[in-house]
Amino acid sequence: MARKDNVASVLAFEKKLVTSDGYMFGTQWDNRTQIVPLALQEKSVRGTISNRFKKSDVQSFEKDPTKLNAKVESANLQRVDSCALGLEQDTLNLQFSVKVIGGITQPSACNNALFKQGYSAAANTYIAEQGFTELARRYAGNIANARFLWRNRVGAEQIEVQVKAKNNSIEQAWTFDAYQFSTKDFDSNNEQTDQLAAQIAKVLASEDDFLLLEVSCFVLVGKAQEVYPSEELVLDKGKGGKSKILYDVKGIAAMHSQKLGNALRTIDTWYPEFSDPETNAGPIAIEPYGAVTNLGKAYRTPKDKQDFYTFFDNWARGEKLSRVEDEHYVMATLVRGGVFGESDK
Amino acid sequence: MKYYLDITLLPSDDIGIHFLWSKVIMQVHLALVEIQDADKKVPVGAGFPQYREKKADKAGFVGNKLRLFSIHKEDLERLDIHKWLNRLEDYVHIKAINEVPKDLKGYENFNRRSKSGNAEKHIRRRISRAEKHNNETPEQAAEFFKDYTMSEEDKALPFINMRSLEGKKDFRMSITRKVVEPSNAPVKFNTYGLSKEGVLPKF
Repeated sequence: MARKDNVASVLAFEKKLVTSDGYMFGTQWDNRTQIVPLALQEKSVRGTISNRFKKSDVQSFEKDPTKLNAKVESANLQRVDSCALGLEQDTLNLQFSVKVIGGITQPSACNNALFKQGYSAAANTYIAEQGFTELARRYAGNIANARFLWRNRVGAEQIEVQVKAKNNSIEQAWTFDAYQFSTKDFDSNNEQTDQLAAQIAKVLASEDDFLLLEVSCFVLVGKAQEVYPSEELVLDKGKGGKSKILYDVKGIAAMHSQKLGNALRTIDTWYPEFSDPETNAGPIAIEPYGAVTNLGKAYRTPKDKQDFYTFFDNWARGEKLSRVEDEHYVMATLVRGGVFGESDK
Repeated sequence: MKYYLDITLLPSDDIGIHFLWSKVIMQVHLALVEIQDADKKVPVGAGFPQYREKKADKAGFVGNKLRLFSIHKEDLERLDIHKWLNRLEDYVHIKAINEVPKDLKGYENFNRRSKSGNAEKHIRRRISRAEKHNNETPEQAAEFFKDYTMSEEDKALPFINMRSLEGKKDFRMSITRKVVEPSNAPVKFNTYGLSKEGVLPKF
């Protein structure tokens, strides 16, 4: 039982890495004067039935086998969105911006002064000892390795990431060859990423500074090749509706800001199973329970006492965590932001 | 087969296993084409150690490992698969070339199965070769295949989605697995590492 007098039932942190949507353009690797927005195309295809049948269907098929044949042999008409480069384009250009904000020592909402004091002290200690260098190094790594391209990154011929950093005091630009940086680890940083990381760390550790990063990424994928914008989640497909809807903004194919943000915070190599080569899922996104939705698995369960809340409740009340990696994880979750209040009943 | 190397596919959020398979097999195919002989055959065979046949409640699946075999170590070295997969290095794990262990579970063969296809495919084909069939009308061709259905076992086979490089239609490459008797007859494989006669150790 936590002591009643330092429980914050209202506790929220705003995110400190704010990504915009990513817009997709097509151009040529050797001639980037013409950069044209990519539009979605709609395809109507005739597929085959391949899904499993519902239990109720199976029972009716047993009564009348001809029904099953009729169902299996009828075509499965689908309307889907797709997106591809133009015939003369061989390069995808993805553009987005990331805003880095300081002020992590103050929750954006907190209804308990005692808790807030304890938390601020703990956060200030972390900043004094660690200065966000490790987290910033990893965020910079994820910008340099172009993890944010997701499927568009797989097998691409060449990838060039251009980053411009702007705020009141600096204006700097870097160019990265994404293939110099692995997405499996964060060991391949160099002088360029160190500079970028230093800027990010400085802002994250600050009281109220900010930094705007403009990212423009060129990916040589090949002439007229397919590219992959975000897919919209369609809750109610309806009859004859489109079964795959891709995301676009004002006619430009785009990637969700959440998806870019998720890639930038894919820095968690501190979960227990990371050290086991059989179950290692590579770096995972920073999440309170280490959830990786596509694997249907949470890598940080409260049962194992490796989840965010277990660490945070102790750490924010002045206890030291046993490993510095756990502190990194807690701070990275706060950078991600969220509503973390606990019941005071 | 004396030597082998394992390629493990590492799917992640958004980058699914089937998507990766089509990329990986395409590169392996290109690598094998580089070492093909005059008959377009290669001394390297491909196996799928986690191949899973369709069960009542589970679809067939090729697994997430690809194992390349050869009799002579030089052939795998000459293939230089690292070079061909270097753009996929973040998504696959390639182990070093190793000797096949002594302790085996048996022998198997992997081959490509050209699916019998759906009726419409056959009708189209028959029409396109109309002069062979005394210039049938499409209706007559359709009549000819009226009772045809694609075989059930073909539908159940594990497959890999292949992207066509020439911009033709994408296709599905279905893979069959058979348990076979050991044999030392030298076998050549096609440029996907598959063959009707191949005998690969299972372990």
